[in-house]
Amino acid sequence: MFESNVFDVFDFSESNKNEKGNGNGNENEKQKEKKPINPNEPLLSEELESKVKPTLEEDIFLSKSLTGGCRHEIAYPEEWENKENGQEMIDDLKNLEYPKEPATTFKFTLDPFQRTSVCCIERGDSLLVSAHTSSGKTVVGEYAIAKALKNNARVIYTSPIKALSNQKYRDLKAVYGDVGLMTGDITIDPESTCLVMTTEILRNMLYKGSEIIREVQCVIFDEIHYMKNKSRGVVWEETIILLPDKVQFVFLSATIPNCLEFAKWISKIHKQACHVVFTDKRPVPLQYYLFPKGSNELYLIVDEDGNFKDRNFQKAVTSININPITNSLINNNNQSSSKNRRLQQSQDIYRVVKLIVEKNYDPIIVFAFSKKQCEVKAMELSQMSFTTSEEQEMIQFIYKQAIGTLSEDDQKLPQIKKMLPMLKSGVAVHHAGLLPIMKEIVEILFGEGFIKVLFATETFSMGLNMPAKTVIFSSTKKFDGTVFRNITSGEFIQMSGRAGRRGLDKKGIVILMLDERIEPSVAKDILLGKPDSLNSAFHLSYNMLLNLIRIEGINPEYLMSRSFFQFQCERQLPRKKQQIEELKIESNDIKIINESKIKKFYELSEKIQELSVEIQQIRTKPFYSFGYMKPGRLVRIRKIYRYGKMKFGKVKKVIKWNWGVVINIKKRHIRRKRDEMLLEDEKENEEQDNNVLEQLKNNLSSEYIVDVLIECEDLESIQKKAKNKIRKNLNKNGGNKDSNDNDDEDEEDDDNDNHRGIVKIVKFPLSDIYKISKMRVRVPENIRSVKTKNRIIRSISEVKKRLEGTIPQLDPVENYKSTERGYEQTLEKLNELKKEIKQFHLIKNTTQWKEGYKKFLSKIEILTQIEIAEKQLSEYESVILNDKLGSMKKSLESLKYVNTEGIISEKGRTACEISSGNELIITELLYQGVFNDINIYQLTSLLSCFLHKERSKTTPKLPENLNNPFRKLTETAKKVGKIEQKSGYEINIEDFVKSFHPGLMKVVERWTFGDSFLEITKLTKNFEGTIIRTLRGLEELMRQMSNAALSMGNRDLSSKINDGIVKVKRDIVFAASLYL
Amino acid sequence: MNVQVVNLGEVITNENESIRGHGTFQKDGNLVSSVAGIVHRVNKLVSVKPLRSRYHPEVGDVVVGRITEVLRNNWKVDIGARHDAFLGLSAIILPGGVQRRRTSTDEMNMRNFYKEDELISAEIQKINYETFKISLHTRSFKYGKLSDGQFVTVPPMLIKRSKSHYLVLPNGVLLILGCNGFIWLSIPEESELKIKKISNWFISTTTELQELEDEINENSNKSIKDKNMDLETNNFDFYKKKEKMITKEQRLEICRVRNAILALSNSFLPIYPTSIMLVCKKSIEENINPKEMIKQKNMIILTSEVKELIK
Repeated sequence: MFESNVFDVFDFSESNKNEKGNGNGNENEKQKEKKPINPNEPLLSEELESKVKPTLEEDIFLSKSLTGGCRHEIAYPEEWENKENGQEMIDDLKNLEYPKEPATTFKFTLDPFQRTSVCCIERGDSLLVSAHTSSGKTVVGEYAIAKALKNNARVIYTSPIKALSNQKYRDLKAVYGDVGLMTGDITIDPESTCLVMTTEILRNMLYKGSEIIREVQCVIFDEIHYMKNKSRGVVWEETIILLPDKVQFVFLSATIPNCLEFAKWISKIHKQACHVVFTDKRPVPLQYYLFPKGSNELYLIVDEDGNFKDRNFQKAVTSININPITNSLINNNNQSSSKNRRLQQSQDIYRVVKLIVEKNYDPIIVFAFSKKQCEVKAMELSQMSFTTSEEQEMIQFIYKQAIGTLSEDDQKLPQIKKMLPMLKSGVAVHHAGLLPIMKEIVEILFGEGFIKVLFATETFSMGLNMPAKTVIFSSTKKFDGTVFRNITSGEFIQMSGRAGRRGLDKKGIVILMLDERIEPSVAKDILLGKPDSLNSAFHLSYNMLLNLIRIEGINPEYLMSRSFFQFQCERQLPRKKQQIEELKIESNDIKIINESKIKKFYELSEKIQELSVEIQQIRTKPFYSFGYMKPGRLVRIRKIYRYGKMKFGKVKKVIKWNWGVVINIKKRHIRRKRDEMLLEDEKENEEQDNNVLEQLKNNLSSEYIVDVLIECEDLESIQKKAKNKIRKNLNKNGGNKDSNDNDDEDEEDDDNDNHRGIVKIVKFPLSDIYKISKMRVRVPENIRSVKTKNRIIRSISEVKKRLEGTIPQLDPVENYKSTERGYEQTLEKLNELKKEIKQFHLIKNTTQWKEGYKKFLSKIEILTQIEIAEKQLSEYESVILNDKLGSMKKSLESLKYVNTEGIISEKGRTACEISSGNELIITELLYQGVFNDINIYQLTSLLSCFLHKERSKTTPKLPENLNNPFRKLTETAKKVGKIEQKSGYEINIEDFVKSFHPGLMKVVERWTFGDSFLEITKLTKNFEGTIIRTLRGLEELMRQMSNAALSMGNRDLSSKINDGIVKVKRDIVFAASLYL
Repeated sequence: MNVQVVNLGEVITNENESIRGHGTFQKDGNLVSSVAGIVHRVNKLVSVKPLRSRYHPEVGDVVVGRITEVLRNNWKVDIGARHDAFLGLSAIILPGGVQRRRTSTDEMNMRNFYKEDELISAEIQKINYETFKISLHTRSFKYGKLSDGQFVTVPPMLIKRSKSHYLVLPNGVLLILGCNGFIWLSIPEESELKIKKISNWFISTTTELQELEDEINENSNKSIKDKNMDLETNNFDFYKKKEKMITKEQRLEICRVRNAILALSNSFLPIYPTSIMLVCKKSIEENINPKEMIKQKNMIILTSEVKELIK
């Protein structure tokens, strides 16, 4: 039945039989699984009583019960303890009874956690449900809605994304009828009893004191774990804090370990009890497999019961043949190897998918971490067909129906056209770059089971109820905006939760594709780790401040003191104090002989290091060294990656190169389009070496770029060397702190290490040059060929030989005629210190010293920890963000948004109207009359800069009519940034200015002119989805601006903007969602 | 600071750069004032604030208004603006703070909440700039029906905007300074606050003035907070008319504050807690009893210190 080699590791046997046995009888299976429970049976009461014993500090304000894989806890406000009838109220909380007349009945038997939740809702108490994605939390939300509808009370359902709201609206509308929808894009039946909306809308309603708020009895927050999101999470906190105390809260969350903490917060700020129902049981158990790169096998590493199979893991990891990544350094011209890798990977995916499909384990979701990858892989895979001809007909039918809503022009869009053949073969992609309509088509087809293989980015794991049988991770690494890192266990749990369809599959399959060897501990962390904690991402924004200042009786401090952030900080206090105590004891326990001497030595070596860096900086100041960067100059490159600075010791990584030869130097300028594309390609390509990326970024951020011909090691030798170094360091026993850092002799050692690497030209920022020699070698004009390159490098060693091993460096005083004050003093000081440290040379090698030094280093580490902890402690103790608030208020004052007494001004009121873009800059522009002077096309395109977030730092060339307004924007941004900085607000002005990206200005201008979507997509490399998102955001922003203009008394501008809205709001961009 | 005062129809500026704001219009390339008042410039925006006009509402303002009509599901309220304001049935807090949809029964019982000719305090919730519909709401328990007190009106531009418009003065008078120039004077619900005898005030230096402001703020916060707690937990029947005893002394203090406000208004001086208190203080120092305070010659004496302060 199976290929023999697959059989023993790919454990499908048992489940396959079941599968066969049941055939279509999935319904039977579902019923068999569940024990019939009498719905009227009193629930849990016994278990509850037995478990109520508050012991730890943690548990004072709660009572626990555990039953059937579901944990039930209750948090209540502290004040209740001291109240007259407080104890009765607390006891009453445990009184859970399943309602005799439930607000709604379900066709299936409820799980224990669902039953408990329903009881809590029936009591009218607030509730947090924490369970895995597909375990059926929705039931709880639906019950809450049903109950509210029964009582004719308003109920609000909020979700993090618009698409999710649309879907929810459709689902609820079908069941309950009296349902409305409010998102930034669309409002349907706002008078309905049940309202589905995004959290932002609810927040805005709270600030505006909307009437709906006074009618709402229950608010359901779906996917509340989204609150930890850095940029948007704060919206949830604001909303929760601002809602009235009498509201019943229902939170639905993925599994989070600190749900009780959250519930306590709710009970504290809203003076009401909050129940927690937690279960980490998966309705469908999962099996985890590894698929090593280039292999033909799947290795079961975690079975349904969560046992990690070490033996299989070892086997899997060792089967990865180390294919050295030869390009450890940048070489834009040489892409063949990365292409090879890509090819290799897609073949791997092809094989896995084929294997899975053969075993009938489809549908499959393949998670890739970039949009481009999704597309490419899906394209390649769609050569195969996974569908029957009937299915193909259905797909075509649904597709045609959906597309029919678009205009003819829009139907010709390449993305739409090229999707059909792919869909027909049962393959699809789903990512943020897709047109919304395409996303919805894919979702619908997937939901109907026509899509067998879906390539998706992480966003797909959010909320949408789209489970598959199998989930494949195409890589264990993702690019998180700054670096490639391993995915966290929390992300893994969220994404793997898509595997296993309730009631359809007996178990879900999760396959992890591995392209490099990883440690078992790392793998265990990913696979079996804890879900991410729900931590507050609270931060302040100007819009928030202005809105709060505007309302009488509430101030920003009120909001901050009630934030989850503050709550969490306060809870940390005792723990931190204890930690500091423990650390202090530990550090006192370390007894070192000769401690004072060792300390002296340590301090000396630290100082020497500092001074050497200083000297290097003087020596290589671009102002001086620039002139010496002639072709042929010998230079040495050193890169320092810093991870943070502390009083004791620094965490850093130093990479050094051998002497290299300068080829060229140029000032940084805007790169040509082609280069840019290459760069972006690199970014997309996630297997690209970490180093390369880092370098690229550094290159771009420094002023001068030097092309240096240099000998680079290939990865293999780097690894070898690293190993050698570890061995060397072990042998050395810490006599020298870091051989690389202070002693010159060591460096020369390195120089003589004669391994042959690859010689190529690498770009470095001028600041990375750390030694400049007096010598130059001859550089021929044409240096393309490898031979010449090698010859030049060889000439270096010749120079070295002739000069008896040392290459003289430039001397700032002598050569630059440097007037740099302090250089000579620094040098003198350094020499003195070096002399001083020499006295230790004798005792340095005694074993006693070595041991002492080792101990001392560990002590210093502890001291550093204490320092960090103490810093945190003082942060926790103060009211959070107070400094920040102060500085923000100051900048508001100096920009005249509030007066000196802190009362909002007319300008501030205008800024209150704007919430989709940077409110300060837009208001400034409004008051400068910038929008009055430009026509509507310029206006829309200028506004696009506030909405378009792009990572690439390059700016396209703009025509004059667009450049002018954009320049005004950057000027204003700079001005505002400076004022903020003056007020003590930490801000990087350059980055701030760059966050307004003109990348879509041209596109938006043409769109406002009336060009078709097809035409405007040709103007840019951006994904269609990105353009649409920007244009939709634009419409929202323009509506706000129109109001802002009216509040200024500027009717002309307002009507101009309203005309613009009509121009922007058309065709496919604003095509209604298929769900509506 | 230069203050530019313009008359109706006067050219404010002929610079092309400026943007027109409230109270201005464009004519032959000139920016012309449509009202008589003071020119305000914020960056390039030029607007004219009229010296005397009806109340110009802003979102978030605390106002005092009079119910003029009970409609199907809202009340029409006169707040002294160009347009009537509306208080929706769903914009008020139901007794006990219950959160629910309003039913037709609620609509039938609207007069149980507010009747015609009753005074209320409220906050401006929203202004529709297209239709000029002004919506009010009573966001918290401190807003609502006003009874047992005295009502004063002054020109709205005299009201100085401050952080709080709900104040308890040191002499125990509750003061609601409506931004619309409608002012309500009464005695706070919980008058357990330690109220200093008015004769004990010695305000001479600015530092003490600061102290006075702080005290007013603190007092106000206390009394209003207490009130909040009470109402939320005890299911208080908020909308019932309650009669409370106001002593003769308290009446006199209310009168004193009322006449102080009128004195300020008469001299066209800004009205805010400190200025009111300064006039009250002066009246004690000069031994002018409340009744005499609004005599023209007395008014000049009383407001002299405020004038000094403003200079």
